[in-house]
Amino acid sequence: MNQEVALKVLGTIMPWSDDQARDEFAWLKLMARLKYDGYRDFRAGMRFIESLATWLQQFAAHHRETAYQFVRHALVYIGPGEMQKLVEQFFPHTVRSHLKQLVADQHHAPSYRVLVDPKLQDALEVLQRKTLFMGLSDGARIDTIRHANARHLNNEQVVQGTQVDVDKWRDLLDNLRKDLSDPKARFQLVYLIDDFTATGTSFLRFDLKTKSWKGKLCRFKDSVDNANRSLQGDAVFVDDWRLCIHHYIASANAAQAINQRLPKAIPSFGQTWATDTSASFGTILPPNLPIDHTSHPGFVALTNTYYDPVLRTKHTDIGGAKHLGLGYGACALPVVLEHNTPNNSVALLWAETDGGSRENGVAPPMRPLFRRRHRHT
Amino acid sequence: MANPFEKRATEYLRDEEAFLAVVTPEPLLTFFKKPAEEERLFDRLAMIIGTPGSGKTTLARLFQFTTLTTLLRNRDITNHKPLVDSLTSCGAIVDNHPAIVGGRLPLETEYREFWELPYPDDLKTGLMTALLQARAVLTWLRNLEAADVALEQVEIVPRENAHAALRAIGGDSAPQLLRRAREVEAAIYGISAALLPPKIADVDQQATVAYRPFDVISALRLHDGRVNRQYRPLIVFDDAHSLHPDQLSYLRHWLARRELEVARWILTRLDSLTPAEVLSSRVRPAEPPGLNHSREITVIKLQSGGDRARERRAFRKMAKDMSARYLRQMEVFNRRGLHSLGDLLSTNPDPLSPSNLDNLTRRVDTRQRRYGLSPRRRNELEGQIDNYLSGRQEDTEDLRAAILYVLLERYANRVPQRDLLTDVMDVSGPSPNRPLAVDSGVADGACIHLLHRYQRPYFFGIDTLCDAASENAEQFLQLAARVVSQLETRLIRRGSDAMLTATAQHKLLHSRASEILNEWDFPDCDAVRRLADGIAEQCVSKSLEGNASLKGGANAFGIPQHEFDQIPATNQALARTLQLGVAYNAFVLVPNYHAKKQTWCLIELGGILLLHHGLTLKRGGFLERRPDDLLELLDA
Repeated sequence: MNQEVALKVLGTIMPWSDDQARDEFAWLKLMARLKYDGYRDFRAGMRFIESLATWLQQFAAHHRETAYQFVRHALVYIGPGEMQKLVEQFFPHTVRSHLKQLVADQHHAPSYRVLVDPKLQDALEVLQRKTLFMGLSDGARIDTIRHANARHLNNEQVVQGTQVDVDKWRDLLDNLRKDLSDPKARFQLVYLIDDFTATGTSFLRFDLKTKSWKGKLCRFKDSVDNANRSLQGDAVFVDDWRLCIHHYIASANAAQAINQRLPKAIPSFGQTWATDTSASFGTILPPNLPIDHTSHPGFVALTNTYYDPVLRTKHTDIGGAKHLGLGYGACALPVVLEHNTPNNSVALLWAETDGGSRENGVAPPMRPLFRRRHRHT
Repeated sequence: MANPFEKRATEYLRDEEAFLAVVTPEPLLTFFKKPAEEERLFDRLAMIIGTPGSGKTTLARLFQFTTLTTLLRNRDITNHKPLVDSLTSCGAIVDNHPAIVGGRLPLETEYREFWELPYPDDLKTGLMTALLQARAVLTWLRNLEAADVALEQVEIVPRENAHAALRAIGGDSAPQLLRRAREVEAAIYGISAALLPPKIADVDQQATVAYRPFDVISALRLHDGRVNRQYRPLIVFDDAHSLHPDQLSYLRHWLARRELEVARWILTRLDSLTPAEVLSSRVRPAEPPGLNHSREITVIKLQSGGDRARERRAFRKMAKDMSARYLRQMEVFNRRGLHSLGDLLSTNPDPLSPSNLDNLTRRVDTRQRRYGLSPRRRNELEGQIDNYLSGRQEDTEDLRAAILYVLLERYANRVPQRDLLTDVMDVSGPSPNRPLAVDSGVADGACIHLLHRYQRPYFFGIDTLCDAASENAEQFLQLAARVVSQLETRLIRRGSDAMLTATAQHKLLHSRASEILNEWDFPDCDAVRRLADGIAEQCVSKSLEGNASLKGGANAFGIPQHEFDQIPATNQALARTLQLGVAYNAFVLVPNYHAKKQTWCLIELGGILLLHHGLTLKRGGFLERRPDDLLELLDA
């Protein structure tokens, strides 16, 4: 399907006058070219406008305008430009400021002195080298962090994942000691980086069944504990190491949840854990961003009407919501990221099912506007 | 591809081929051919003055060396032939080779800042002219390099007796000239870009040393082993209105010197002139002693000024050509072979609804009774209407009734009131003291009545679209973009039968005009708006008089010329408002207009205002007013 055919289809299935169609076509063409066509899962001949024409046809004629207006006015698409900016800002904006403040506090000096006092500058450089950056997922864009900060960061302090084997830990320590000419040097600070969090449960949650904490932070803890055991007397981190967790984008709820859960979870991590654990965010989405019955009553109704219960799995139950119409954890986000659509976004944006007979009747097939690559299949 | 009509300026077309595909040659012939034939285009300073969007930069870009070489390389492309011919007639191409090395230098950047430097005037202007000359040299050489000319093969031809000064500009080879220009540019840029300007004593010597390539260079000669060709350098100073008025005055005086052999143009908006220069056809800019404006400067105004009917025809031709070139770039049109915008715009007005037609007919009958017009006299008038409309496209029942209404009103005005009551001897009723006639003016007046009383479409068809642009290319594109976008939508939705009805066109043009007016943000636009709206309101009122005394109606105020000429001296605020109105296409001045045994200056409303207020685009209808009437509107 080419764009003209897709527009023709849209012009046929939507009850638009010529004037309206002109305005809508202009908007669609502009936004497709500027943003939406860059969605990573689109293919040639089936990009945004073509996908939209197909997507709208899953709705009854009288529901299409509601669905279209949701895309037109509620959708938040975070494109590669915005993401790149968030990644590039991470080091100078978040890390560097934090390190500067730590050095200033350590030397009882005002932070502005750190950049002019040679002694403090040296301390800053050492602390910077003793900082380890670890990605929690592919979305951490470790490659971009490396490229954007090539002058400041060493490749041997930036690691793609947290599940690192003992050889890699040893390698990281060896390089650190070599660079600092200090045979006893250890890492002082760790940044765990991820792209997006909407509920914070993937990162850290309390499992009522097992009465224990779960999530990526716990898996990182296991990795560190394994390494320390395997290093036989040596350790990856100094005794008073610090942990920072950075998400490029967070929903307002997730930012609040992570900050609330961390102090509760940390005591269970034992004596060798970091003396200070903090969370930072590149940007926090507005608290009123999730849609609800008040802001988008028509579209919320569609998330019930056009819903296939097959979306529910044991993984989605972890989020706490059993009806996935508003997305995982009923987050109700209207958000699409250029590389994938979060499952916390309303399901009509990303869900793809065949429909058919279900427990409570016949479910309609669901067609995605921005197809999602699933982690759990 | 995106709608090319929405591209505001050709500067956004980086690629020369893309630029040449959309540019139309008509303005070259209109504005440049005559001065070129009179050899006034390249041998002295040329001031090219126009409103925003009148095409100054587009025209200048055509004279750039890279554009000329690209054009000549592709001269066999059918679309390019008229351009080659036009540039040849303007002297930029001779024997299928460029005759000039043209370069454009926008003055929007840091040149204005020289005026703020805490230096004596002669140092400030010296720095500015040296930087301008260095950048002009760099622009010429960059153009040559971009056209694949090796600089080693380029020789500088100095003016007679300028061989000694040749060394000061780097020598007679292009690489040396380039090196020297770069040194001077870097030294002066260091001053203008400094956070704090250096003290005079600390100013880099490179910046103040004598550097006057314009006084030295006569031509650039290319030897590439096979050919030996000589080019005249042309520098185009664009957007000169960005300069301080004193800077511009100095620049003008400096470039007007007769001994310079470098061709030099200044492109500027009307804002940069004084109100007196804009408003009066006789006032010349105040020049320093020794400068004879008319002999030493060629002034080219890119707007109405001479034969307005011819200019309108020329603009229509250009606009149609331009729209054809743009439509070719739009896949939806090109694939269907739709290259003529005019063919897609219906010229048949949609008829009135039956109820409106009934209402109109009843109004005509009422008038007939009121004025005691006999059926026989009415039949005569209807016969005249038949004669006029027979064979014409616009022959519709509603127009017939509206014309008859106008004729009835005229009849009543031309028959003494006494006769209306007493003359019953003649079965035809009393005779008018002047015969009633039906012509295009009466028909136009009737159409305006139909527009305001019954919302019958008035603005439709390609000629109307062209005329509404007030001979301004950018305004044409702004209006056409909306129409083209609607056509594209219809083509996509229907596949064919995309022709826009008159009603749709009228609605689109009217709404776009209103949007443009709302987007006005030029200096003093509120005052201009007050004045324009006041003029428009009175013109609408006059246009709706039953007898259509001004035919299609009024669209201008006429001020006695001698009183108008006094405005800059007697009321500066009004003069400034008028100047800005003219500079930003709100008004068109028609000075020395002879009518009613008097000489007037017409303040004509621009096309966008006419669209917005529903006034005729036909010229000539004006209301007699005095400067005090303008002041009253301004103070309202």
